[in-house]
Amino acid sequence: MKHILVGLAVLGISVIPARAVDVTFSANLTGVCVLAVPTPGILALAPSGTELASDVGGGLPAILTIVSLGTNTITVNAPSYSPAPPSGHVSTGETLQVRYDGTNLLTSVTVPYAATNRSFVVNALPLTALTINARSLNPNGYASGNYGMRVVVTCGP
Amino acid sequence: MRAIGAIATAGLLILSITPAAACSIAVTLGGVMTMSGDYQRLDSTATGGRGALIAIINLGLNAVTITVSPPTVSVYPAQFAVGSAVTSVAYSGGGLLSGVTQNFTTTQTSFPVPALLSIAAVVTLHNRITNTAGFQSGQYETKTVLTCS
Repeated sequence: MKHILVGLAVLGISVIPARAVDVTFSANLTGVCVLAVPTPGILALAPSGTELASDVGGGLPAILTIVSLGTNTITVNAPSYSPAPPSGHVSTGETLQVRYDGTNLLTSVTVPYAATNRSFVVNALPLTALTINARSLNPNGYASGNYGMRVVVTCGP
Repeated sequence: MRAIGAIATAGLLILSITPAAACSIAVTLGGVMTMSGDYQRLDSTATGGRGALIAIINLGLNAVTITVSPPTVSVYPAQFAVGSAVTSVAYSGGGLLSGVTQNFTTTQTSFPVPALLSIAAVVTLHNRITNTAGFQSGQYETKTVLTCS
């Protein structure tokens, strides 16, 4: 009887596991502060006749939007007439004032009426609105005609 | 009759090739993200942005699956609120992969690649970071992992 011994060596090789690649996307943001006024304000005469304001009946506050990449300072300047008030307007004793209130990430910004320039600091801020009201207080009243106020807002590091 | 014993030894080498070995993925162009017009997203689909281009080949006899991971933010400025950032990925295929399309998603997804795809098919990949807390100035980078199996 013939005996044959057969040794059988089986070598199995399992292959390379799943292939993977990293796909990268890059961005470089520089310091940016963007201001826009999507809604200008409207002034109306208060029943007293000695106040012209955006927050009395018939008036409308202005809306300012702010976007900030990084830290920036927002400065709200005191208002001025623009254009000049109509002929006959008496400005003796008159005061022009501005107040503003923040929304969303700026809800802590609530500043009452004043005739001075004021500022606040913002950090990274997505599109956020600031409501701005302006008024004139004049004991002499107002001559008939068109009135306009301008509030300059600046943003910078 | 004399019995002759013989010892024979045979070695048998088995070499199996999994489908993944026949699959090749290559990034031919990295992506670029820019700020969206509403300043709420860094997005490769925003104006000035660019999707990444991926070339895929499958020389195997079987179809394979490409798995796409949701992006991670791998580079960001120190003061960036990365914890509130939401990342998402979208992609679309060309050529024999023109049926591959995925809108922006925050989850892992996958798509099949047919067998014997000897000519590279290109997939365009997009990344997006959304952050309600806004963005700091500085360098940002996201990473999406593509795996073939």
